[in-house]
Amino acid sequence: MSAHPSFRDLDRVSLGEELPAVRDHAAGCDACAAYLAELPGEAWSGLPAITEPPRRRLRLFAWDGARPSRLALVGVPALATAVAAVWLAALPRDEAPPPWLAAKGAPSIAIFVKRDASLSLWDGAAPFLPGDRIRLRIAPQEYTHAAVAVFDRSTLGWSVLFEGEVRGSEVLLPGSWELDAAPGAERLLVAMDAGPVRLERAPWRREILLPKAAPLTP
Amino acid sequence: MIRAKCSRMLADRDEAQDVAQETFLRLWRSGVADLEPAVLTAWIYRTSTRLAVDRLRQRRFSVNVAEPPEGSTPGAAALVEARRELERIARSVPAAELRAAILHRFDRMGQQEVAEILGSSERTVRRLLERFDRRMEEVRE
Repeated sequence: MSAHPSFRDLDRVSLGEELPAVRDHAAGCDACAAYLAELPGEAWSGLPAITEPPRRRLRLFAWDGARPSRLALVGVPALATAVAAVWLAALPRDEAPPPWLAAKGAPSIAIFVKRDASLSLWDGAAPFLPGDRIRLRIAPQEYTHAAVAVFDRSTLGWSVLFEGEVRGSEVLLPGSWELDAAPGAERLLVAMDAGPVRLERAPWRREILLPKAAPLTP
Repeated sequence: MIRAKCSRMLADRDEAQDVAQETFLRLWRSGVADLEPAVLTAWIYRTSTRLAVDRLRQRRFSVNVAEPPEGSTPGAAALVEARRELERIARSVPAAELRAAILHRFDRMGQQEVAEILGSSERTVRRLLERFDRRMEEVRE
């Protein structure tokens, strides 16, 4: 059929399966290597450890040192991530989509939650646990820039976690954030504009409340 | 992965996106997501191919295929040409033939692997592909 392995075999390798013949081929084939490089699975095996010290402490902790493609998870949960953002838009009406979910064609946000080894799409209501890591995928539609900020209760102001271009139909933001054990919900602000975003004046703004489960008492 | 697979099969990006979404939804609900890669990818290829074939056969108009698929992959130009041909005749070809042809031509699977995905014998797959090739020859003539 082809001198190349099947795309499925390449996919299997990207999901971590050991197929030496496919790997050997890809090592010497630019096209297959390029295909593998575009799949997130393999790159995710180099995730920074969850115990990696955060670089800045807010209500959320910024994990801004890792490349975007390395911030998701290994294997199947990662596969889910690849399409989860668009999946949101396809949710049937009776599945009670999150309140911040936009109509088709409008900007939208999907929040992914990593808890231990599992990755899931936040349903807009479930409480978070300390140690949960979140990551945002944005569908900016006509906007080209986005900013994400968390409300800092110590300064009573917004602390920016991400600011930059978000060109494309869907953009996985380059950074994930770990929720700390501080009590109370976290307020997350996502703003978009056709140029550099000014939080207070952005034409598209959504504030998202991230509820936290009460800490366990001994 | 799912999007790449759907983009190989369908020229229309929106349509490919729709099929990818539907595949993902089914994956999400199926409970197979934790299975080993060989089983998981078989499920994904089988489901997405079936959905794509349904789309192709429901179409009233062909889609203008003007460029290689997103993220050019090995044999991208040949893939585009194969897709053009497929879309031209999709409505008049039995679904089983289309599925086998997509897996064989677009996903570069051998007959044995196609048989594994479709849950049929190699012999059946060989016949399906032969019939499909004959139809293509007729179209070209």
